[in-house]
Amino acid sequence: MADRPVVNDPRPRVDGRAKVRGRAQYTDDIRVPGMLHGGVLLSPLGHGTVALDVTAASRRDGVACLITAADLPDPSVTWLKQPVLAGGTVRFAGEALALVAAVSPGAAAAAVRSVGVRARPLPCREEPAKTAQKGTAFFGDRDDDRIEDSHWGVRKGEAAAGLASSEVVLSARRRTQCVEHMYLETERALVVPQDEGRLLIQASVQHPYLAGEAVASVLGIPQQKVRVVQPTVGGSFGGKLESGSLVCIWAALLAQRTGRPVSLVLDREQSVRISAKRHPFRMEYTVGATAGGVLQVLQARIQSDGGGYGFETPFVNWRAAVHAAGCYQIPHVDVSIDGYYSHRSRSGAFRGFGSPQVIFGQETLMDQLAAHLGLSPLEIRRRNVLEKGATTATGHRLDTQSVPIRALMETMAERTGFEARRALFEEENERARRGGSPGRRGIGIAISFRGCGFGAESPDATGAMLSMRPDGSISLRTGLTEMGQGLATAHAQIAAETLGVGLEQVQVETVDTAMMPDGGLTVASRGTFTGGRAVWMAARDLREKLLTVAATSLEIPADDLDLRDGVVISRSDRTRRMGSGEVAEKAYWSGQPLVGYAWLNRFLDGSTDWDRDAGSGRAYPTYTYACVISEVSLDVRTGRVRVERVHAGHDVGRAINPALARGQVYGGIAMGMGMALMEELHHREGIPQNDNLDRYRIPTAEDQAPELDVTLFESDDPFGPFHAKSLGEAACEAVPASIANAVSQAASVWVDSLPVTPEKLCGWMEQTGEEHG
Amino acid sequence: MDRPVVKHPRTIGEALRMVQEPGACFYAGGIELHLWARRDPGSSPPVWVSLAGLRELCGVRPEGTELVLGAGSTYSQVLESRPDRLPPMLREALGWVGCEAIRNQGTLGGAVAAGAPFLDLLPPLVALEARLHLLREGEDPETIPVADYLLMAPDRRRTRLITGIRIPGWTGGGDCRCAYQRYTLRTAMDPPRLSLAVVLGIGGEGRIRQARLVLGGHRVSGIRRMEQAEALLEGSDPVDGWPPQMAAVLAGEAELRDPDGCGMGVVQWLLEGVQTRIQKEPGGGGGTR
Repeated sequence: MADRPVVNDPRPRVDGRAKVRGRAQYTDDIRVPGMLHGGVLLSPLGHGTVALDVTAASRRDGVACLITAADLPDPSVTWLKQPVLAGGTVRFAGEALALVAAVSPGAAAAAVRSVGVRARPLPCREEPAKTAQKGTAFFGDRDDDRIEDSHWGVRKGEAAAGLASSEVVLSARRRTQCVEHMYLETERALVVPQDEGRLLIQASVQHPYLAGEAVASVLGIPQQKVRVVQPTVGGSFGGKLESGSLVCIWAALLAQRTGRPVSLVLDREQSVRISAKRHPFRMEYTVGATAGGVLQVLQARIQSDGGGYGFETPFVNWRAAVHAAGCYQIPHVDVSIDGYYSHRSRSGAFRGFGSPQVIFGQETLMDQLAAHLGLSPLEIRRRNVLEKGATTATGHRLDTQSVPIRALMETMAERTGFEARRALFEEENERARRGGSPGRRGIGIAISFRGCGFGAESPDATGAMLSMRPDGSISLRTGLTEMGQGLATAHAQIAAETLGVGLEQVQVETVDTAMMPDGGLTVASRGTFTGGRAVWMAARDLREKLLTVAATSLEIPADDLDLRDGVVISRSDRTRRMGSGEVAEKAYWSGQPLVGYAWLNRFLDGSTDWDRDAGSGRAYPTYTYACVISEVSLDVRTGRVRVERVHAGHDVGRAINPALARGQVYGGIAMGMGMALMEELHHREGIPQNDNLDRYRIPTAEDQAPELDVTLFESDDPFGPFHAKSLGEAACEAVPASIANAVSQAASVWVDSLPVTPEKLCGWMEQTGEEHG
Repeated sequence: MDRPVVKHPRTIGEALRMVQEPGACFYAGGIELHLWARRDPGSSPPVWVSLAGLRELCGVRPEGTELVLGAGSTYSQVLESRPDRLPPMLREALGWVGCEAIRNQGTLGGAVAAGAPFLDLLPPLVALEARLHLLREGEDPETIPVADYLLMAPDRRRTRLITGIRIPGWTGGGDCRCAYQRYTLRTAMDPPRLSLAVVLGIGGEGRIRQARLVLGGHRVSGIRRMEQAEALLEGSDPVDGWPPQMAAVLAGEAELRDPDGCGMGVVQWLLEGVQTRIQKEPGGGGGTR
């Protein structure tokens, strides 16, 4: 081991220097000779039929090729379920109708504008409905528009028995909105035809393997002919899984047709149209408890809006169902969720993946129950929170995992003086009400848990390869992507710590589909948790090989050797040592290249016992927990809420890099705050109305709470590398609920939908008689 | 539809001639025009006459007791020139425009010509009774109040070039006070939903002799003075004598779009904000949240 630990140390990002100097190379920075520029025509309708006239556009100067659905084999549908190009009927406004390649971006844009479109609108369904409506039904032969495989249930005990044993039963409806990712870098791809029919793709994608497979499938070529290399990516949050792949397909079609390199860069409005959004949820929750506040039953009926195609909806719904009852001990649980089609934007993967919605539902209801029982929000949680040995809503007994939520919650409550401040605000608000003052304050708490990795949703497999060069430097390859979240740094730290070398010796290579097997999606907050464990295993493999070579060379048993700071040293005779580079050179000349490789294909102890039909079993190997406490101020005249403080406590197991972990949480707070207070993509006839940053408002730096306090709560968990748990998505999940609960105290209303805009809040206050205006 | 043709005149005279072409329009920083053209390419003017190279449109200069701001000056240029006679609320309003990149690009004349109610510059200009120097091919130069220009039909505006904005002499202090307050959803980079510019002339007896109140923001249909509210305010004590019915009168007179929700409360908040600013900073200031 290194003298100064590399893991759990706030090292600078390995890619930080290049980024702050502007030298990081993004897709659009890459230029190749003979490159054409792509353009894409998107549907002018949210729902309807379209017919194209491409005569004029095809004849324009500088146009090298123009492709419509008629030029593609039938069916040209990818794993996204969505046609590559729509012909005839369109189901949402993000569908592409035609592709153009031209000698300049301007020529491509002009050609796109020259395509004649005859559009016949059909009625748009902007809200999912259980029963198909005339004219807007997605399937003529069915009486509902439910998305296939999107139904999930979680059942524990007997809900009827739970209701019978409850002395208090509360029901409430909750709603969340359509949220856009707004990553700074929009989707883009550069496709370069190479010898033997191969294509080299450099693109801003979240999962290069999926993009490559989709391209191969649409072009009808073997997957090995498509090599995807990932340049620097400017954010994804789940969004570029689908839209990034689509852009690769479009650029590849143009490159294949012209035989020339094609760059396709979406502008902001196009990005907003085609990309996946956070699923809007409609939730009906019922909760029953004893008079003492002990939960007896929780029922949830949830509808998610999958948009026009809903490829991700079954997966999002599964995670939402598993987490819908929160991190509470509840003897009787009955959760049911279904996804429905609509003609709004396509919903898909988005940081949190269904969890922020259900956490908003369950945590706001928990505050409502507490108020009904005369308990504080903290007390109701104390009486019901999960702890070691308890069983989750899916019946998973938590006996081998760390379950520190109670300690985390108490720590955060003490750190913020939660009970005292809540009482103080109650008094202040009452005085303000009586005195006619407009200022109010509120403090809100939300707790959450999140299953780490894919869990029982799908195989949680991934791999890593470390090779030591003859000079002792190390290349690390995985199939998981750096998108700005800091994964490369975390992986480098895990490798360096395990090997006993300096961090600077480890070079994390960009993902290249030709160099490593597909390690699964970089989603589900599994990059560090799952991928990091594969890196750890590969590093141990390399370390063992390196010590074996050194042992032979030094004529010392391998078990007497240690590797520290890049030097192999005898434990019994510290004068006997070799630099790791020296060992690597010896290995090379003896024909034993030093390569460590590991493939991780199972996380649960044995196979999962998940029962799909019963909705029960071990859903995840372990869970990460969070407690977020927010304070807000409110002017009841204007309805505007200002977030004054956010205290975010996260059970990280062990932080591989505390600085990066904090960075994730700061970003998560900003994202959660946007969802809580201002972000919503509005549609009219299926067309996004606020499709650029001037109309779709995300919080700016000036909107952040003046006080952001992050607590990284560490615990020994047996599953992740160096005890690390997931964090990326958990960082944002409980923030909207905690802000909503704080607003509820400040405004004396129950927040039942997001975002909490001033107009909505004023309306709620008017209903409850709270003075404003 | 094809991209518009951009013409680059070398003199103001050339610019005036070029804009006579059917459908042509002036193009300065391009902030508003680009947004418009991007959103609705079909209605974009076919010819854009760029004013970018016309240096005589730039600069800030005092003329007697007044200040003349070149219409081609960017927000940043005016802010950096720190003119002594620039009323504090106008300086603050300029600072609230977009972000630094937008302030470096957007011009004062462009904002006035766009005339959108949510532009921060306009309520203070109208409240200060600023005037515009206008030129039109074949006609004598004219100087008209900003308020009148904003009421002009778009077609009449199109061929008139704003060359300068004349700000009346500003003394501040005890006899003249001003304040600008804006209400936004976000703290920064957000045009106001509602904004209020107030200029008060104080008489010898310490009461409001003359009041100018102008509401702006997304929720108003156009920038204009609120004359009923002004009349109500005149004769009041500038510090603590504002009539209690001010907010209702102002809100009623403004005929706010989307009056549900918090409209009335926001007007009340704006009024209290400007009143506080006027009390604390007799020379005038601005405020936002």
